[in-house]
Amino acid sequence: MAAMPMGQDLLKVALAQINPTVGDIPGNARKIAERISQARDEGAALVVFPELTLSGYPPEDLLLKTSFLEQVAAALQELAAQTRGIVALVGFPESAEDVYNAAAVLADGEVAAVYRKMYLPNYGVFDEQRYFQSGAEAGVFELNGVPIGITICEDIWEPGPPAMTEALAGAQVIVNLSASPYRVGYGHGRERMLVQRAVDNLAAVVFVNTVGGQDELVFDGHSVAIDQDGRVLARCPQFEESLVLCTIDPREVASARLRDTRHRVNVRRQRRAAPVAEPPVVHLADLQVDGGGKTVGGAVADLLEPEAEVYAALRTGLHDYVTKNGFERVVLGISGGIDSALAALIAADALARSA
Amino acid sequence: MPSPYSSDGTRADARAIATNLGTDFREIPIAEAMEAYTELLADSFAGTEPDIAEENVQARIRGNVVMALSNKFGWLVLATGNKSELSVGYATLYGDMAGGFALLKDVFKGWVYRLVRWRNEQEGRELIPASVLERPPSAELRYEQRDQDSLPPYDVLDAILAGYVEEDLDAVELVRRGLPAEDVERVIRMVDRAEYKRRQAPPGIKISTKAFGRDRRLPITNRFEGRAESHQRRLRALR
Repeated sequence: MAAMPMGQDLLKVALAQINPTVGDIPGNARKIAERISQARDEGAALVVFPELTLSGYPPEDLLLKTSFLEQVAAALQELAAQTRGIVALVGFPESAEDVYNAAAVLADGEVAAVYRKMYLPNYGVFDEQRYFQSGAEAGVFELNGVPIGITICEDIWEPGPPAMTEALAGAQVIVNLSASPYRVGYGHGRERMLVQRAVDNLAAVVFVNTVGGQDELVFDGHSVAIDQDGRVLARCPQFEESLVLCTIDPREVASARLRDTRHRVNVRRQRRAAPVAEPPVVHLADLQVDGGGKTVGGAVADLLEPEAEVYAALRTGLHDYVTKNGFERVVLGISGGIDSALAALIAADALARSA
Repeated sequence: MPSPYSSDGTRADARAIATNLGTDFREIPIAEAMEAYTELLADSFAGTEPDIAEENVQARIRGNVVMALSNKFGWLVLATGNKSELSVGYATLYGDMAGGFALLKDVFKGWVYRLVRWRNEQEGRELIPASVLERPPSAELRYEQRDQDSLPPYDVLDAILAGYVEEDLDAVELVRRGLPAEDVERVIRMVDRAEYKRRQAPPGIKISTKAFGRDRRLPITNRFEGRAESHQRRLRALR
């Protein structure tokens, strides 16, 4: 990896926390295209979307249908053709010799590169080994001279590769495309993990999570950008779609790596060990676009209190289940007991009162 | 959908909730349908005492009514049972479990109270009347019925369920946590026996570390008895 050029510009990144609908490939593509142009209008050089945004998450056995994978591939090409003046990272199921949970780097009207998720979770609500092959290579691309490493969801829960491999290969920013389902209080732990990962790797971390309900799952959003010292630079609100702009200073990362010898020692160790112990890092692309911020950081949304958080999860999950399935009204028996009272309350808040 | 077992208090509260929330509200009494069922089943039930069969008919009449409204008008039926009830099977299949979406299926009873109190505070007034929060929980399927007749107090129940359902602990480990051994054994038995009901429950939103459904997969046909007999000796030793 080339050395950091001196006098490098700041990098303005857009965290596109969106609520896709599983299977609605044209609708999701439209939503993605809107956010790409919005991010470009706001001066971002890079816009990051959640994991499998184009198909929605989790697509489950839709992934077994050839026609589904073909439609995704066609939609991705169309999106790429429209992407100019900005680089977009879009999660999609990639159909190659096998199927991968992948992130496309869209730039200059084409798919400039593809990263494939390495760690496929198969516990709890996850069934990714049923559908996907694992990627074999960590991936870095360069944008305006800033090396950026790509990871997808579970990848960054691992303290080692691929994030570590990418950082030691020079990546100053680690992006993570996620579809991380909600559970009570989980977001706090997840943010702590991301802070730790930023400090581990002496790199800025940009984590973009999906938001909204999909059957039993509700995704809480809570996307964050964190600097190399573990400070939260920007945070999207929980349970709402949002596009948050955050400016990152790669010079800070370079400077930290001059002062903190952990990085130098680990690079040396990795070079000695490679290629046996570490997966290779693929240099994906060199890209240039206009865009850069002036002030480091972005908007930082507050986190909800426990009751507000659980309530928002239930309201969001119900709202999306009702609307995404084409219902307009709900009916329930109100007994005068506490359970049906709460259900009615949430339904009234989630939907129009008359519904 | 009041029956002769519905109290005046719950009937008034149901109406008050609908008024406070500004939702459409209809009262559809089910006494006549209950009588029709009694007559329908009179020969078959001859010589038996009224029990859970008759109680569940009530719940299923209500299930039928909401499903009819759903079919006629295209409304989504919400099942309103909570995780504590669904865990121990304190719910009626095709009755209160009927519906398209079980909104609270991963919300323990203790959290149901917390959420209602919190939402009332947010609003600065009683969207849900205090009487709903104060009344002892009851399915109202017979006179003077209380949930506590069949179940341990909800704080004990929720603590047992959190350990058994969400943490996969066994009876001995739960008793070591200070939970009453008799309740632990009874609740575990109830949870295991209700697997067939949960498998037929509508989907609902996961908010816990382990929600029923794809998150927690246990066989319905299951003779593993780590839950009770084989632990008897260890439990006795603990006592």
